[in-house]
Amino acid sequence: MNPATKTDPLVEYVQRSLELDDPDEVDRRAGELSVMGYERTATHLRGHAVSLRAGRVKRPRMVFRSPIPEASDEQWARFVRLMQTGDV
Amino acid sequence: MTPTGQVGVFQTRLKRLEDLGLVREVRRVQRDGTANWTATFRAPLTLARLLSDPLLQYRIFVVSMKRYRDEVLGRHRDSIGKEIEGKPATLSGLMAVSQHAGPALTSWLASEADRQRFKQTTAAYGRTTGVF
Repeated sequence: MNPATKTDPLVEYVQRSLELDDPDEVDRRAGELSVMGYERTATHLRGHAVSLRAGRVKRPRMVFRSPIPEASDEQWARFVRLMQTGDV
Repeated sequence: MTPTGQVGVFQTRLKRLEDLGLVREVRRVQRDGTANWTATFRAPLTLARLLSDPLLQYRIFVVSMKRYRDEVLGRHRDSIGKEIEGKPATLSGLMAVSQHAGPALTSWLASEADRQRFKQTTAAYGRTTGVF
């Protein structure tokens, strides 16, 4: 393993950027890299942003809107999960 | 469907589906020497359609939970905040008991023996109380 690669902040920054699921943020980071002269890396990140957007169109996330005034959407989603067979 | 008459991913009781107007004639029948719960589904709903459609099951669950919420707050509001089975009772926990026990929520709240006897119901309470 190359120690320089392991600790290279740019490599780490790109890796973390590829783990994001917010395409706008990925695009913003791609712009930063482009300004810094890393055009090929920026293009790679932009491609990731495009993939994220395409994925969102094809697979919209299930949103559990709470029908209970006392529960937030997050609380309701947790309750629903706990009420499914296997969890309770 | 379980032998005790619970259906789908939320294990909704046939009696509850009857309350919601989705089935009728909930009854026990002898099948292979054992008693099983069954019901007649109201068209166009069928058991097969219900089991094959998780979103439909979720929609029914939502309707059921909204009604249970009103019942819990209307009849058992004084139980909220009390310590039951070592945990403060909240709306979510009592709604979970309602899903499992229906109107027997009243006896579940009043009787420690019932809470010991109906372990699945009590486990549901333990997992869900405190969520909201």
